Amino acid sequence: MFENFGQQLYDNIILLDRYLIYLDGLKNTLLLTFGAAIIGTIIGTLVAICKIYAKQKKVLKPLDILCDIYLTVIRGTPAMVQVLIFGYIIFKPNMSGNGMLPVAIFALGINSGAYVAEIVRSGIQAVDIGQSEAGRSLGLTNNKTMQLIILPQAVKNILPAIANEAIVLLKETAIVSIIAVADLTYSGILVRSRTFSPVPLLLIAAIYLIVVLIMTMGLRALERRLSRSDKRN
Amino acid sequence: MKKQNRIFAIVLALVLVLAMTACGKKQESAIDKIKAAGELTMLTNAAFAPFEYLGDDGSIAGVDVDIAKAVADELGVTLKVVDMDFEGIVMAVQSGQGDLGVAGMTNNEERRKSVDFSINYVSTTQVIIVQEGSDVKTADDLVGKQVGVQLGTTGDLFTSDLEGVEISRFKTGADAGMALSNGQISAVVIDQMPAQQIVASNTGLVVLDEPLTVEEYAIAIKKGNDDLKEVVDKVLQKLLDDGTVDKWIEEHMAAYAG
Repeated sequence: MFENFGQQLYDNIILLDRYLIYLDGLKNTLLLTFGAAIIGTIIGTLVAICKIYAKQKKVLKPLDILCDIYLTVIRGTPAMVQVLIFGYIIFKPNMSGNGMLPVAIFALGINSGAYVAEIVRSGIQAVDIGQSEAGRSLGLTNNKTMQLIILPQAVKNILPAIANEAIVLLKETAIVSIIAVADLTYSGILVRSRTFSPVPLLLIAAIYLIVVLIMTMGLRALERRLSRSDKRN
Repeated sequence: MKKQNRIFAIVLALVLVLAMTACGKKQESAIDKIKAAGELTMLTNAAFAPFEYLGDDGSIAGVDVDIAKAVADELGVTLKVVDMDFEGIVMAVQSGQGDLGVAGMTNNEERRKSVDFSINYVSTTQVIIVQEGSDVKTADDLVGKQVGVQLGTTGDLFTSDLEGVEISRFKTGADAGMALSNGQISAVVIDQMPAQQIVASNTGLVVLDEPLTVEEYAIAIKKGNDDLKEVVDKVLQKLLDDGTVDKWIEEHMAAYAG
């Protein structure tokens, strides 16, 4: 398997400009990750806020049920199955010019939203109940208490967890090759189908690892910045 | 601390010794190994009717399965069918993860670098499938079109060499057929017999008559497993001579379409 490894490296990376295939795949993987992370954060935040408000207002009960259905269905089914359903049953996009890519981004965003919703909800609920009682005692309205007192503190809990979710998402994007989206994993599989060599899979693993390490560094920096106002340590 | 280092060194030495003995192990013959296991493992991608597909009884059926079964019978062992991604089969056979790659696989030069092939058992060609009334009539018309193929197949290799064609590579030929029938792509390039089956199971699709390539299917065997190759060749030759392969193709095309 590893005979003539130098030659294999050449065949799998440089020959026929194959590195362009990996770069193209990496570009799509990053698009998928950040696109889905943004969609997921928006959906997740909206769902979490809906659920928290629905607890206080009876009128919002139907919305709460809708959110519960969304969370149950999305978290109760595999992401790969969801991607297949979005690509072949719900949207059926024309595939010319990367038509599947937006669908894959959307599908992963919907999937990620369900997990982000739980992160946001637990982040808000982790803020001590005394904080909202204090806000209400000072004469702030319910909304103002949320806006000025609860959310700023909740964001500190939530941001690192969402950044972590983005890292998880990066690895999750590897499933989209099932609907013929040319992500990084697809590019490795494609080159492998031509060269029958272990190099492409090892190479894309290394690329994923490097991207995850970079994202982790960003996450650490973010955590440091957020802990600056912590007087506890 | 020192004690820990010593334990670490001992473990490391053990690992090295084990690794070396693993390398020095004498090569058993392939057939002895199969007989010892009592099982012949066939690797395939079961979305390629009539050669391999999910049969009515829920197990994988097809011409290739019948052929592998005949080989297993000859060896006096049972057949185990493993369904996997097509593009991974050659590497899996090469690294000994399965005994035979029987997947309607074309015997071509690229693959011969990595595995050996049995004698050829089916002559075939790549064809184009389109929706009825499509403006694609020949391979030249594929330029500027979105064309579906199964990743790693000869249809993929053929289409990848065409200038100005946009390719969508699917995990299975069945996926490509479904996308075509959804109108998500303009054409599919795939092996002739699976093409007929895709057309039979999706309404509104037609196969264009023009043959794009000349190629032959054979069974992939790990390089060096010459004793196994000998048995496979013998069984195949017999099945070809008495017309059994043709009979199986007819039977499975009818079974899948019906």
